[in-house]
Amino acid sequence: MNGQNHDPFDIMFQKAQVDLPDHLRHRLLAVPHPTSPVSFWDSRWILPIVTLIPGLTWFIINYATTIWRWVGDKLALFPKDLAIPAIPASPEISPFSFALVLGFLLVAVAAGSWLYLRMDNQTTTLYAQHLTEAHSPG
Amino acid sequence: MEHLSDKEILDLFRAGNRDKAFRALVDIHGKTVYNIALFTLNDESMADDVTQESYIKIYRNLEKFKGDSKLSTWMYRIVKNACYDAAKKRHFGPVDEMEELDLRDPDGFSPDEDALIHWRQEELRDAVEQLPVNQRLAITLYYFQDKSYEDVAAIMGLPLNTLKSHLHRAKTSLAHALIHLEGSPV
Repeated sequence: MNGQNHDPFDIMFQKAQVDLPDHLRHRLLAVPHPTSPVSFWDSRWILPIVTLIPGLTWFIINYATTIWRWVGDKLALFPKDLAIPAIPASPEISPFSFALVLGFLLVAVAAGSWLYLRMDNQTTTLYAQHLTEAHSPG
Repeated sequence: MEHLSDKEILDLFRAGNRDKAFRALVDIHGKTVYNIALFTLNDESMADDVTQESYIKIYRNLEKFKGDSKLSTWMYRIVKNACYDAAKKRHFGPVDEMEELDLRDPDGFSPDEDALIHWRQEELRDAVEQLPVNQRLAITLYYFQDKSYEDVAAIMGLPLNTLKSHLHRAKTSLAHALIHLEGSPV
């Protein structure tokens, strides 16, 4: 205290100090938890992806050729001097190859979602927690 | 409560044991941070939010802390900025010194021990609220931290003499406010 014990304000401020309220301590200690890395197998994002894959694969296998042909037909209507790459009207692409390509795309989207969740989880959860705390009666 | 040094806390945090490091920061500084916010803003709800907001900033930036100052100085600077921002948003009380203060000698204020017992923290907070925010922060940091002029000056980003002037004015005004508080025991 360096000889400041006789400062009346020192005594007053020490007496007036309050303890950290329990609810606030709880809120503060919750801060690091949302930063725990999201597991690759976290059901929050893996389940929707897993359930979507069979349906999308079925759709792709059944309609890929038709869709690709339709797109090719439309593009073939353009004059060639527009230098749009020519796409064969009947592409030689099997439904399996097409499904494979889109499968890779799905994996890329899934990986992107996972990374996004991993980075953004702290912010969103804290914000949600803040709102919850702000509106809770206690 | 395990009392860890700044270096131990930083080492823990950087080693990935963030929960334990953060818990130590809450245990060691939480009460002081809350009291600084509470006395600066005189609003429990805002003090809660400012304390949490400060700790979120501390958590997010602790990795980048380079050790140019004491960890506590760095932390309280974040708290000080959060208090300033909150005070500005609410527009209560002058942020800067804009009024001439009654510069009576603060040493003239000397309540006896019996009288001090009867002061309630709300009354002191009400008196502190009448100070400009600069002075509120200066006096709360000074009394709630470690009463080091150098540390408070570093936290506030003020020259030492300016801080001492803030403190002198704050004490004088506080004494004046306390004496004139309705129902004051002094």
